[in-house]
Amino acid sequence: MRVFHFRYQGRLGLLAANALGAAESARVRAHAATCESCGEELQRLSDAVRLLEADAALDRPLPIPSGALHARVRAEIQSKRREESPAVAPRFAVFVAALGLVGAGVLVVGVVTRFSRSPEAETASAAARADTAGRETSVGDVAFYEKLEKAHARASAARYLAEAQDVLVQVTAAAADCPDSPKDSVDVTREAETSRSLLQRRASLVAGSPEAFVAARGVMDEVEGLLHQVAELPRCTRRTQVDAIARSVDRKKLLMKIDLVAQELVAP
Amino acid sequence: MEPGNGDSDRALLARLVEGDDEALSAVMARHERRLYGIAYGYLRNPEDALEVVQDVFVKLFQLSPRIDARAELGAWLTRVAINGAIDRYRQRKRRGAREVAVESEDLQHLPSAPSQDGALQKLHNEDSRRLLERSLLALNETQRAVVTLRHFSDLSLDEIASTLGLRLGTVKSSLNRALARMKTAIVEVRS
Repeated sequence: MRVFHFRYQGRLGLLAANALGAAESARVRAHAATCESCGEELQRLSDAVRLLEADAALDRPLPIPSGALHARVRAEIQSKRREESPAVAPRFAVFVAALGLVGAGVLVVGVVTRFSRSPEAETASAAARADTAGRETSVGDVAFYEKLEKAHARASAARYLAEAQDVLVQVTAAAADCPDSPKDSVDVTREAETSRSLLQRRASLVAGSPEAFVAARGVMDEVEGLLHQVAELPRCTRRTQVDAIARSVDRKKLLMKIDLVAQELVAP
Repeated sequence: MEPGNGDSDRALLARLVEGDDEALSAVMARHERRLYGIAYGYLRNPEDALEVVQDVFVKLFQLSPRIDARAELGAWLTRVAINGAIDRYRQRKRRGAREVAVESEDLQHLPSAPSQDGALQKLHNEDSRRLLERSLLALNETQRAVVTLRHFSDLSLDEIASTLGLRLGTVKSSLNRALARMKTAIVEVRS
């Protein structure tokens, strides 16, 4: 048996970790029973394994609610998408340039046609065109600017919702401990400040062109309610209070709704 | 039951490839605790472990079209999580954010010479846990990865070898040496 001492001694750790097959396990164990130093070694290794097993068996929940983790993952995915989107810009620029060339071509044809007409005929028809164009331009301008204003309001509402979404994700994932406060307090100063400024922006949005985002009002109202809650949080807030907001965001499926509504708002 | 929770991992992966967002939620709900346990077991830091888990799911979303449809999703996630934990640990070590050497004064926190029953009692002792964590941090990267996967993910040695891309013999010797290193740290203080 002594012949195999070093071989078996080198397997004591694996025996303690229950990582040997049945036959080899029996052989190493039998050796340890007859070899005093190996028996003691096995005992100490088993102590280390028991510590590890007990530690692994401890219930370690995620440090933030599951919904907040999901929100963080989605926010990260969104942010990576946004980072990737500038790659589209050069293709878009080429498209715009091509359109420009086509436009220039049309203009050249127009100019050539115009100068090929007789001066008398041109003068008579120019007066008539100027009168009509004058009336059309003023009506067209109003419609055009109304449309532009509406698009701007919708884009602003989409930006507001995206920023509100960021605040809700950040506040539910807030991790910074507050010094000199109970252990489970988190510092939400930045999120509260951002919420207050977002609420001001919301007020001016709604006062500006409320009809521009009628369909988004439901979600905007839900967001407003939660932003008020965040805005009123004290600098050092109990984790339970933040968790309650996270649950509320989760329950309302608000992050998903914001995504959908924001996409709808900026859709052509 | 939430949508998608009844599907197999393979079915969820197929749905994810098709761009089904709900499938991502179902995968996260199923694996997040286990992956957090692995990342925490390696890093011993809740925030870092959480970030590793977050990165795993972002990678899953981005790389899902490239994952072999026949692969075990759980094993793929485990591999990404342990590699993420190792990378994060290296970054942290480079930043010098945490001292990894076992300092002799830290070892003084170990409870002294318990009996067999006493050792079990002390398992819940904060000092024991702290010592255990310090002992784990004293292991090299491979040893710590092997111990983590063995005890926090309950993988077989073959599975650990496949997850870490190591030979079975390397896994066995790493586990053996890791336990010996930990045992030495514990014995030194108890004596």
